Parts: sequence; C-alpha cells; structure tokens
Amino acid sequence: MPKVKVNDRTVEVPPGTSAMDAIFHAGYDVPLFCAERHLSPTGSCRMCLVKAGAPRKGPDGEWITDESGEIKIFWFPKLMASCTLAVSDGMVIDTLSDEVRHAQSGMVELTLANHPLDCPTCDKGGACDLQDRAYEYGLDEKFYTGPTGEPVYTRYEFTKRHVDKHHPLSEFIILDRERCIHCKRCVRYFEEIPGDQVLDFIERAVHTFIGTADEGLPSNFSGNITDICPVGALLDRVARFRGRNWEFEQTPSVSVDDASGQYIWIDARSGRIERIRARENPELNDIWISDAARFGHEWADMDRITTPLVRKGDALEPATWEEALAAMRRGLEDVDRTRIGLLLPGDATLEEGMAAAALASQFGTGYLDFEGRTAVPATNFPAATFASVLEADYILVLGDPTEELPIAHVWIHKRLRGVKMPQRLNHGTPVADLAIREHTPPDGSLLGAFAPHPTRVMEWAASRGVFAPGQAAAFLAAFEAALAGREPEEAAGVSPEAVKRAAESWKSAERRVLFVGAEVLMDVKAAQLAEKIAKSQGAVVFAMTPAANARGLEAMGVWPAGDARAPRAVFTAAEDPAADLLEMADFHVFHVPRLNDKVRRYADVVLPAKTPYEKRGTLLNVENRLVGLEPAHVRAGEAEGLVQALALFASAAGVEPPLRFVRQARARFLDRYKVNLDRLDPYGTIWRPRVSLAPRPLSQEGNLYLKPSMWKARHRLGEAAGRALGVLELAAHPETALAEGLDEGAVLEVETPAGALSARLVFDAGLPAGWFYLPAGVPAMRLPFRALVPRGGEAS
Amino acid sequence: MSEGPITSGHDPRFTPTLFAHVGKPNSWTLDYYLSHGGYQVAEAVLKGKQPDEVVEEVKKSGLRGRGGAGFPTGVKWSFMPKDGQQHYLIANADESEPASFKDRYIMEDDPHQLIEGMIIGGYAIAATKGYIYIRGEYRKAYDRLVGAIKEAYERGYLGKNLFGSGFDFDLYVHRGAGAYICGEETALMNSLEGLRANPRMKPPFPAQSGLYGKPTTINNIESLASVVHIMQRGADWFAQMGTERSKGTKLFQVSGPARRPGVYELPMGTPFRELIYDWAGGPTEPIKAFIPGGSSTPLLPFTDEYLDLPMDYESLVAANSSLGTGGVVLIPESVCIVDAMWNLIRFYAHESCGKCTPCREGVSGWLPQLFEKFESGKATREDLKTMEDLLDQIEGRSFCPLADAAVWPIRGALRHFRDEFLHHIEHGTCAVKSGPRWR
Amino acid sequence: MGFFDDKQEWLAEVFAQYPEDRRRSALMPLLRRVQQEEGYVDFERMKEIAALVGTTATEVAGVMSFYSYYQGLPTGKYHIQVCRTLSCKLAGSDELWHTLSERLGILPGEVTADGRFSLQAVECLGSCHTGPVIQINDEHYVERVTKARLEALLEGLMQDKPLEEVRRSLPDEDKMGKATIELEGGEPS
Ligand SMILES: Cc1cc2nc3c(=O)[nH]c(=O)nc-3n(C[C@H](O)[C@H](O)[C@H](O)COP(=O)(O)O)c2cc1C
Ligand code: SF4
Ligand code: FES
Repeated sequence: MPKVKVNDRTVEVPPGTSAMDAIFHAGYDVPLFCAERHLSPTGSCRMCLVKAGAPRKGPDGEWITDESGEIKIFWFPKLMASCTLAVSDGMVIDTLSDEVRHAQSGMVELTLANHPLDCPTCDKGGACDLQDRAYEYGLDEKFYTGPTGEPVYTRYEFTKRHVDKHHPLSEFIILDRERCIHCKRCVRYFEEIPGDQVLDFIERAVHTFIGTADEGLPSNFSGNITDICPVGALLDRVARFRGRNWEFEQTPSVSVDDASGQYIWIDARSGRIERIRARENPELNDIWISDAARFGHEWADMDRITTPLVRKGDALEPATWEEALAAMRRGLEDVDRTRIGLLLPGDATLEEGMAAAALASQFGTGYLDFEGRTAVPATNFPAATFASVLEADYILVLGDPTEELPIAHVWIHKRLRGVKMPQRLNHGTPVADLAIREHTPPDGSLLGAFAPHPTRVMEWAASRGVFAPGQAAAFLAAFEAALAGREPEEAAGVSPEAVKRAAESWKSAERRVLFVGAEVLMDVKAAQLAEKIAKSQGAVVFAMTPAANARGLEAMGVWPAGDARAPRAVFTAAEDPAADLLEMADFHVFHVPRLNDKVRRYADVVLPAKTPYEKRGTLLNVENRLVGLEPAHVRAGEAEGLVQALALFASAAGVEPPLRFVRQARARFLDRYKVNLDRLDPYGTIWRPRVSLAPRPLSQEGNLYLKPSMWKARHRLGEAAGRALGVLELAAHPETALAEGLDEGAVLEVETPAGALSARLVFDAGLPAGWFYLPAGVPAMRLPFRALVPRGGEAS
Repeated sequence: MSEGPITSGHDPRFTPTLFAHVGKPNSWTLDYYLSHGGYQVAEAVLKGKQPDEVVEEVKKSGLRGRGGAGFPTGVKWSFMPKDGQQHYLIANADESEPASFKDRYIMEDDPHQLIEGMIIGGYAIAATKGYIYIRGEYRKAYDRLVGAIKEAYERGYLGKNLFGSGFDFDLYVHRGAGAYICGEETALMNSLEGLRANPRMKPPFPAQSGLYGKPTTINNIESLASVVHIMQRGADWFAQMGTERSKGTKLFQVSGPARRPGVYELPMGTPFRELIYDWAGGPTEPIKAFIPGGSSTPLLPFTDEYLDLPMDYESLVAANSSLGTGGVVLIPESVCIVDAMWNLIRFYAHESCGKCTPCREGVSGWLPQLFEKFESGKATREDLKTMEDLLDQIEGRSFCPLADAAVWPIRGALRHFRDEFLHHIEHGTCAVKSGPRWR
Repeated sequence: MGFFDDKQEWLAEVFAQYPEDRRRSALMPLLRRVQQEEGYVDFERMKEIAALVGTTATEVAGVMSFYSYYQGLPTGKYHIQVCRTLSCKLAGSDELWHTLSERLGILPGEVTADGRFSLQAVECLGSCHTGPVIQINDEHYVERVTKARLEALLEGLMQDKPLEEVRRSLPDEDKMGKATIELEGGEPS
C-alpha cells in the first residue's frame, strides 16, 4: 500500500485513495466544500488546495536522490486540489505552510464574495461548513492588511449578486440561490444516487444557478440534498424556521417507513419532532433516506390521543388508566380467551411482537396477526444484504423497489454504475472516493425488471416487461420454463423474448439477487415459485414486505395459527384494521396514537399509544439485520408502549401478563437467541432466525389494484406531504376507463380497505388493460373496483 | 497581395502545404482535391504502413499540437492503448480563442485535407470513428465539411474497408452552440455527449477514458492537416523547418489595424516582424502593443526587441508570453490598454463555465467589477493591489486553464503598460484618446 | 402536435451519428433544429427533446442555457449577432452595435415591433481579420460590416429578400471571406 507523508505523519492508504482522504486518515484537516462521501469528486470548489510532491524513479528503477542523498521530492508546479489527486507511493503532502493557508484563505474569500451575510436568519447557522471555514480563515491578518497594518475584513466592496432568495423547489425543499456556492453536490447527488436528474445548473459563469424544469422534484429521494448542502441554500421546508441547530435534541433512531430500517436522526425541540435527517449507516443507507422517512413525520405531532378513552354511549370520553382497565375488564368478562384477537401494526417491534405472541399463547388464541402481513412468510426466503447487491452479476426485480423498499433503488443504481463498497479509513467513509466517476450511465444489462405496472427501475433494465396484476405466478412459470431451456409462453403481457433474455442473463450470472415485491408475496403460488427458483439457483432474495418488521414479527411467532376462529374481542394496535375483522367482534380495544374514523366507530376502549419515534425497540429489517429504535423526546401525554398496553389488556382478561416491560423482553431474547438487543453493532447486527410458518393465503379478487407506494396513508396527514402528494391518482388504460364510462380527469370516490378515497382518473396506455391502479399506501392487493363519481366530479 | 500560395521568402526550405489551395476556385470539392493528389497519402499509409510506424513518423517530425498547448502530437497518439476497444478521434474545430481563425479556412477551402488527416490519424490510433466538433457559428465551414464528407462517402474515401486495407472509418460533424470552453478537450467531450460543457477531471486522461468512456484522442484541425504532409513528404522534411524544438510550418494570423490582416502559413521561428510587415503589409496606424498568440497570451510591446522574436514556443516563453495559437493582434496607440484588457476580461467572464470558484467568482465575478471601477475612474492604488492579489489567487488554482488564460493577458498589460492603469487611478480617465474606429 | 413528429427521418439520421445507447448526444442538434425553425426553444419543446433523447426537461434546460446560441425567449425573424471581442472592437464594433441598437430601437432580449429584428452581442466569431463581423440567425457571416455595407444589409432585410442573396449583393462582398483581406487605402483614419 502506498505510504504517504502528510506534514509530519506517515500513513499507509489503499492505492487509489485521494490525497484528501490520506490527510484525514493521518488525522489532519483540510477544508472542503464540493467533495462529499458517495459522490464523484469533481474538484470544483478548489478549497482543498494543498502542496504535494512525489519522488520519481530514475532509469535504474531507484528513487532519484538529491545532493545530500535524500530521496528527492518533485513538487507539482501548482497547488493541487487534494480531493482529485490520487496518492502515490512516497507522496508528500503539506497542508500547513503559509503558501497553502494563503491559497485556502483566498478560496474562502472568493467563495464569500457573492455569499450573503444572513447567517442570523439562516437555518443552517451553527451547522454550516462555510460558516466554520469563514471563522477559520475569514480574518487572515497575516495575509490581508490595510495600508496602516490593520486587518482587512473584506476587500469585496461590490454589490453582491442578487438572485432568487426564497425559491420553493418543491413542497419539501426551498432554495436560496444567493447562498448557493456551486459545489454541485445536489446536482451530482440526483444524477449519481437515485438517478433522477431533476436538478441541474442553469446558465453558466457567474450567472450559474441551480434550477429544475421538472416541477416538484419528482424523486423519492429529494430530501437528501438538504443534508449534503454545505450551506443554507437547500433547506428542509417542513422544518424551516422551526429552531436553531443547537436547540434540537438529536436522537439516533431508525425509520419504520419501510422494511429497510434506514438510519435516521430525530431532531426534536420542546417535545415536538421538527426534523428528520439521515444518519450514516454504510451498510444500509449510506447517508441517504427516502422522502417518506424524512418528510413523513408530521402525523406524529397531529391530533394525538393523550389519555385513555372509554366509550360512553356514542362518544369516546377521556378516562384514567384505572377507568380504562375497568372498562376492558367489563368488556372481556364473558369472552372466551381463545376468541380474543390480537392485531399488531407492521412496524411493531420485536419486543412488542414477543409480548403479543406470548400473550396469544397464554390466551390460547389463533388470531394473532399484523398489518401488511404477506401470504407467505418473508422469512422463507434466503435473505440478502444490501452490500451483496454490489457484488451481484445479475439482479432480477419482480416488483417496484423504488416504492416498496426505496433504499434498494439506490443500491441497484449503485450496482449498475459499477460502484463498489468503499474502503473504510480512520475517518470512516472516504470523502473523495476517486473510484466514483461523474456521468457514468447505468449498465442495464445487469438488470431485469418485471412488475404489474411500469416502474422506475424498469427504465434502466435491459430486459423488462409489465404483467397484469395477479399474473406473477404465470410470469414466474414462464421464467422457470426459460431457465429449463423450454420455450416460455407469453407471460400475461410479457414477451417470451424478454423472459428468455432475463433467464439467459440470470443463468450466466454467478451471483444472483432477486427482489420480490408484495405482488409476489401476497400470492402463495407466485411466492413459492420464486422461493423455489431462488433456492435452486443459490440466489439471495429481498422480500419487499409492506410491513417494516415482518421478519421480526414472524420470528417472534406473530402469525395466525391453524384455528384462528372469528374473534369476539379484538385488541388492535394497528390503526386501520380491516372492517370485517372489526365487524366480527363485539368488543374492541384500540391502542393507537391518534383517532380516526374506525377508532371513533368501533372502539370501546382506546389506550394512547406511542409512535415509532417515541419507542425503544428493535426491528429485523429486510436483510435480517437487527436495528434499534430510540425514543425521541416527544410530548405525547400519557401515551404508553405496546408491551405495557398488552400487559394491561392481559390483566383485564384475567391472565398474568407474560411480559410487562421492553427490558424483560430483551432479557428473554438474550436468553433464547444469545443476542443482546441492548448492544447491537453500530450498523445493526445480522441475525437469521429459524422460522417455520405455514402460508396463509389472503383473499384477492377484483380489478382494482392497490399499487405499492412509499407514502403510507398516515404520511398524507402531514401538511407538506399532503400538499405534495395532492389528490390520489387513479390510473387506468384509456380503453379500460372509457369502457366504464369514465373520462380522464374525473374525480372518483374509490372504496378501499382504508375507507373511501378520493382520486382523479388519469390515463396511462402503458398499463395492462382491464385494471385500475391506485397508490393507496396499503400493500399491493387486488379487490373489486367500486367507485362513485361525486356530483360535479366529472372530467373538466 | 493577390490570391495564391503564400510563401516565405526568408526560408528557402519552406513550401506552403496547409494553405496551398486555400482561396482557389472550387478548392473544397473532391474533384479539385483528387486532381491535386488528394487521398493518395492516406491510401499509401493505409496500405503500406503499420499504425505504429505512422505514430513514429509523426513523433519524429516534431509536430506539436496547434491547438495552443503545443504538446507533441505523435507522443499523444502513442498514449492510446492497444486494447481492441472502440477508439475515437476528435478533431477540435471549436476555434473560439479570440484572434484565431486559421482552422476555419482549412475547413472552408480544403475540407478534404482535414478528412484525409483524420483517416490517417484514426488509422494510427485504431479509431474507427471520428467526430469533428465545430463551433456552431462556423456555418460555412460546416456546410463545406458536410458536403465533403458526403462526397467522400459516396466515392469510398470514408466508410468501410478504405482502399481495400480493411480499415473502417466513419466521420461525423457535431456543432457547438457558442461556448469557448468547448475547445477544452474534456469539456468538448461532455458537450458531444449532450452534457453541460464543464471540463472533466484528469486523470483519467482521454486516452484512457474519453468520449463515451472509450480511449479518445483530440487534435486540433491544423495538427491533423499537418499530418497529411508529414506522411507525404516525410518527417525529415517537416523537421528541417522551424527551430530546434518548434518544427515545421504553422498558420499565423494577424488581426487589428494591418494592411493585409489574415492567415499566413510560415515556418516556425519566423520573426514577428516578417509576419507583420512583409506578409500582413504592416500596420495602418501607430501600434504600441501586440498580442502574440491569441487572446490568452500576455501582450508584448510593439518594439524592435519583441518584433524580432522568432515565432516559436520557446522564444515566447522566454519573453514571458506564449505562442498559443499564433494569433497576432495589433493594438494601436490610440486604444487604451485598460480598455482593451477590459474587453478581454469581459470575454473570459462571459465564457467561464462556472464550475470552479476562482474562475466563477474571480474571473467572471470580481475581475470585471474591478475593471469597471478602473473604467469609471473610481479605482485607487488599493484596487490595483487587490487586482494583483486576485490574479495570484486565480492563477494556477482553477480547475482548467481557462482562468489562467484570463489572467495572462492582464499580467502582460500590467508588466508592460502599468502606467496606463496608474493613469486611470490618478486621472480617472484613459491615457489616450480613442476616436471612432468604425468606417 | 410535437415539433419532431414529422421529422422522423431526420431524427433517425441524427441519432445514427452516435452510439445507440448515447442518444443524449443528439441533444444539441435537436435544440438547434428547434432554434432554427422557431427562433427559440420553449418549455414544451424542451420536454419533447428530453423524451426523445431519454433525459429530463431539467437536463435539457441545463444544457440549453449553457450555450449562447439557444434562446429561451422569442427572437426576431433576423436575429442579429454582433461580435464585440477585441479585434472586432478595434474595427469599430462598439459603434456598430450602438448604431444598430439605436436604428432598430431595441436592446438585447427585445424584438422590433414588426417582429423582424432582435439583437445579441456575441463573443469572438473567429473572423478577426474581417471585423466588425455579424451573423444573422444561423447563416454565413456578414464580414467587415462597414457603414455602407450595414446600410445595404438593413435595406435588404427590410424588404425580406432572401438572406444569402442580400449578403452576396452587399458592396465589396466578393472580397470577403478570404484568408487574407487587403484593406484599400489602409492609411490611419
Ligand atoms: C479554454 C480552452 C480552450 C481551448 N480551445 C481550443 C480550440 O478552440 N481549438 C483547439 O484546437 N484547441 C483548444 N484548446 C486546447 C485543447 O484543449 C487541446 O489541447 C487541443 O485541441 C489538442 O489538440 P492539439 O494537440 O492538436 O493541439 C483549448 C484549451 C482550453 C483550456
Ligand atoms: S477555470 Fe473553472 S470555471 Fe473556468 S472554465 Fe475552467 S473549470 Fe470552468
Ligand atoms: S475542490 Fe472542492 S473539495 Fe476539493
């Protein structure tokens, strides 16, 4: 490995390391604005100039020496941008000399030349790279003095560039063009990470500014630019003016918005969540999170239930916990315990799942279930880690990762761009990774993508196709036939050629990764075929479950048992249970954070619940990685955790609660599985549970397809998300819609399990005929299309 | 002076080649070209020489790139890998440096010469595809090129299996749209790929990963045209002209108040005096300074000392300037140097790509504002110091040489005509009175 | 209807110049075609081009705005581009510019009321020995625009004669466009 001398320290770094990373690795500092982890280095801000030189070998293969016999260093004639300079063996780097400091202070001066002086009203204040460097270099008395020796604060006396200061790029992001220092991080980010080129420089020279011609920054990953903007040019509009950086309490936690468990920071102030930011996890989400994870938090502060509620006639009235307990006792008095149903949300933690499963077995009830459960257990599939995507020779996607498991979209894009897992140095992820190259188009030959509707990753894939909803099994059968060398049939809309091409690539690959979405997982036949193909071919699988903690809950035994008879009483921590379940029972206890129509209609007792932002607990993500939730400081009245609520419910039902506290659950977990949930690895701990659960088919019929969407129903409650997502779009092939007498633009009320939703009809000729697609924020599901055109809702 | 070959009376070894046919009727047609021995060199090379031999011959000739930097062409070609991948050859016809207009006439009046040069170059570096990146404004040159390429395809001088040698060569023309930076080779490739024309990081160098990520060589039009004659007459013929390290003939340009402004093909090392007086007919009004090699090169006083400088790379470096593209501009006595420099700075400010801080904020932002202050008579001695500091902070610190190119002419002006800047400071006006110049 | 709907053959020809998976290279030729025919490139056209070359409207806007040739706002039938860089300046392009601006009564970005003219100052056109130089639309240069030649030029354009015809009929036109230009008189003015 090349040895590099940085000032007085010599370090060894892998070949190809940038001088900048060698400097950090050696424990020295170098200023920078444009370099950023995971993005291509571009050397554009010129802040990181250093003096560098290297020895040379003579014709004899020996190092050339100077008069005194020392190895001679040939200095580069100019100062070099350390972010774009690759180290070589024997390189010498100087970051401390006057020459270097002078050049760097000059670059700060130039960077500030057109930068406004509005730090006091800038949300980035206190967390701003430019502010820090301005303090460090700004008043450089050594270099800039006036005629009589007094320090010169600035020699820039001209009118600064005046451009758009409050320019909303979307509902989520606001741009201050005066503050922009043209580091291009955001532009490179969009191109290189999600591959959505929705932001670019416009104009050139000193007039260059950031802009978009794609309204609303259409991307599931727009928010990350607010994290990486080194100044206050791009700000989180949801969090804008909500507090100064030093006022936030920052809690490291994980997002439950999908099954990846992205690492997040929860920034709270005065008991309210103000902002979610990405938290680095190089194995999981790097420094990126989906927009749903970032901007979808507003519901957690809205209309919270702060005390227990008990039904009095038509109304739910505030009550004490004692009153609630008494009400539950009364309600459960005559109920056979084996007829009590327990329903958890898909993001219930492992600990909560353990408590629920223990209680169900004490009750002897078979009705134990969770929201977003799939027909076939996700734990049946050999799980893959995200890192393995980068090693894959072929990736086959059956579903829509961009919506179902957003961060997977990023990993797939990385793979197609040829990005490798970065080496980790003393300072962590390299800041300027020279292996990453700007403008590398994705290599579609590594990807096959098939789904019941056109998806974003399909645009990259060399083999692709759309099969009709419910036809996943038919597609997989055709794929299996092609693998076996038989001629595949036309698979529900996908051409045999596309199937064959995908099968060819799959066969010739050594390392295969399969993504299966809810469409496959909800269909026993399709899921079993996928499982068989994966296992026989040694492929690893991402089962993109709608439930964030599907695997954890399955591992704890949260799964309906053989004799799940119709429950007479229901305890539900899921906010939106199916109406038929509620109809079956006479007594309903809800443990939820907020009221909704179903709670109002069915609940007999309501216990105030914590949101996932307030919990301590563990999730088992799609990779079988245990990741830990930490509670942020959110004011939520008397809200309690699910373990406690279940314990109370147990007492009400007259049984000894098997678990009362998360702590106990963790002790039991340690005891059983020898994994300490209090001490997970910083990036999560891989844990592969042995689970054997029988498939439980879900009823699916009809021609309305609930399309997966990363935005869940509760996200839409938030002001910003609600505005950004607007009216739901009901999509259909024009012929299909016209056959129903519906014209483009018509506004309809559509019946869904989550109630009647209002949606506007759009035509999409790329969709299979015969189907209506609604991104309802509930798992991929088929049900009868029942719609109502409200008065005045016809197409305009 | 009348039309016809332009020859040097001062160097008997010199024969005009590049411009031998410029200005002749129908010189741009294939028939004309063939009747003057056209494509015979390419045929001989493709049939009779190995690619390596071509590279060696060009190396031996000492040809240095005519795009401004003067890097030896043969050496550049030898960087191309031997890997069986798709390689590309790009002819750089962006020619946007103020005071340069030589390549234009090769394309307008002798486009087949360029095509033949590209066939030979493509063969030497195993590039089966070539692009001519031509600045968008050169409409006439574009029309002539497109016509010539069409003719060449029709008669088998482009396309598959040229001269039965098994070598294929396809050639396309891509038009720019008004951006000086597109002459910088990596920005050019971005532009050709449909991206914003910001320069790319080097390494990787184009020969490793250039256009579409494939090994690529970018050459100036004149460089490529020169190759035809080197291969025809031999490296020795080329190398005997010129000076020790600057060989062969080159196209020089004269603009500004001269009697016969234009392009002249002369041997390297010809003194400025000969170009300006003997060829361009001398100035039409008193001159105080001249730009020796295009707007990026530091200007020099119009004195005997500098007029006697030989036009070669080394002599100009020794004079703290540069030969650049060989574009001479005469600056008359009656024009204020500060004013002239402001004009150039405004050019660079307009053309900065905006990628890097020193160029965007310094060249494009701060420097013009300082010049405006000089122009409006409000500048102080402090401003002069600030300007010099600023030049220090820009030069050698930018991402690509455009910012340096903006700094150099001002450096020359401050070195030789500092008093005109001081005059602006002390009197608030130009040192000279400039009358109307439009006739 | 899309601008390119009836230009499929031309499109195919343009795309054929570049590797199959590099359609984006056709971005500039497509922009130029719209600019030539419509005098500017509006948002709808940007979206159309984006779809054709497989990118976003944002990227098209980014590229388009980088170059001085493409216009985002309508231009006149004759978009007059005046070179203002040093050699042309030494030949009087400042005065030429002011004359034009005053005569036509427009500033950069404006179009004359009859829709005939718009003006743009551009940088070095690469015809430094025949300054001052102007270019109208995407046509061949009009070189050494002396006062007399400007008069004749404007007159021709006012009558909407074909541009090339006007250009060729300007006084002294046959002396233009040569590698070497001899100045008559040539004495200091
Ligand atoms: C800002 C800038 C503008 C340039 N413009 C041109 C140009 O217009 N024509 C040209 O041939 N080379 C130009 N060059 C030089 C090219 O980058 C490149 O070195 C040259 O085309 C190589 O050809 P050669 O080796 O034959 O000289 C420019 C360089 C820079 C930095
Ligand atoms: S010096 Fe910087 S801003 Fe200027 S053209 Fe080069 S890269 Fe662009
Ligand atoms: S140039 Fe910006 S960090 Fe190196």
